[in-house]
Amino acid sequence: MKKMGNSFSQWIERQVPPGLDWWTEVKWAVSGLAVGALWSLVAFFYQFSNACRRLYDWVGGKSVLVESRTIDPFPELLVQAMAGLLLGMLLTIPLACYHYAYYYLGSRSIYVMRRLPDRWELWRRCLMVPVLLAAVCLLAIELLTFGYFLVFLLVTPDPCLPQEPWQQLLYALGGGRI
Amino acid sequence: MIEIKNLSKSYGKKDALLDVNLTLSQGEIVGLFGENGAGKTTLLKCVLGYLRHQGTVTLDGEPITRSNIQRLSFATCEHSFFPALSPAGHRDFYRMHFPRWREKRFQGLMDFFELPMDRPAGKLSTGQKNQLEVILALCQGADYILMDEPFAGNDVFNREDFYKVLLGILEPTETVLLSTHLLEEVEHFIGRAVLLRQGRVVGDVTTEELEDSGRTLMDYVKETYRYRSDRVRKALSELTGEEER
Repeated sequence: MKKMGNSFSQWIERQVPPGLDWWTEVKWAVSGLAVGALWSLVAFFYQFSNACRRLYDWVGGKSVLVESRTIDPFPELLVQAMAGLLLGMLLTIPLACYHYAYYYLGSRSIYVMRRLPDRWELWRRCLMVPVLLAAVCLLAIELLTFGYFLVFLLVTPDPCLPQEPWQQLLYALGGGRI
Repeated sequence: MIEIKNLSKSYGKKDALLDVNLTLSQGEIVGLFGENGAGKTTLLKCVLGYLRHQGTVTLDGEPITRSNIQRLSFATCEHSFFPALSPAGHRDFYRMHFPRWREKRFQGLMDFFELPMDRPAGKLSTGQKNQLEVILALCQGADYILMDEPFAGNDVFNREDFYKVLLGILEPTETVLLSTHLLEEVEHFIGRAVLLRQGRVVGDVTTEELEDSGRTLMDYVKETYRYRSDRVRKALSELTGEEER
């Protein structure tokens, strides 16, 4: 495990500007991801529970399912749910800019980077971590969307499900209504 | 050989370099002199390809690209090390990227200047930062070592040590182009002097030629720049209001 940790730190050291405190960046990224995912859970279940509630009427002090009603379309339940993770994705742009600006901070180490035989080294060290983080955010969005869809499918009473729910999933996975 | 042909560079309407032609042969130690704004730094940066320019710069007949730029190194008073990385970290980085990295020379110079191996470069003293900057340029394994005022901020003893060490360690194939104001200090260290003025090469002389003509480098510079020795006296008399006697 320790060996794996060492090889990870050696690997990531080569993906960021030399000397950069990558550990702090990783901590921020993991925290941001956790907050984004938590926000997503809260937002989705709040919207979903409201949508479910609207399927019922109070009759004589009892909650009764109105079978003629259809639950809100799945993509609409995701509105706001992915805001945190989308923000995380957007923040990778200034992160990449910071990685580039790093070569101008405190010195002009850009001169060394521009003298390296490997022309991609500079860009790899600027973009690798932001691109990976954006990919992780995207993956989290898709996985959560899929997970939410399963909840949507299993919890919504059958008569209230839309006619072709899987199409709504594809629409949502494609970024619809996020 | 580095060949600079018709090199011109302007910043907006201001010409920083104008039709510079220069050749640097392997093994030469060349001093590049000129007043502030003469174009010394701009010339070095154009050679390294850091600035867009007109004219051509070739290295052994080939344009300078990624395939041959590792034959050039650069030490600058702006510093080009990574501030958060220690000298040991720099060694690892350079070793990874420059196949001709000179390990033995690096170790020797680090020991000689007693630089701490594990302190981040940004936390070294100004003198130590300059030393590390020059050490890295010398150890990269480059054939052409370009230096832009590398000792700004170092004390005179320190600089002298460096010149001596430099002369001692340079191999016959290594070329140094040193831009500096410290004319008299480097006079015995260089083999050739190139003078820039307002972006033009106004003088190019070997120290051998200077010796033959019985002039010092300072004489040559003053002569080339048409230095008016009475300028200071006149200015002082004007400022103090005293009549010339």
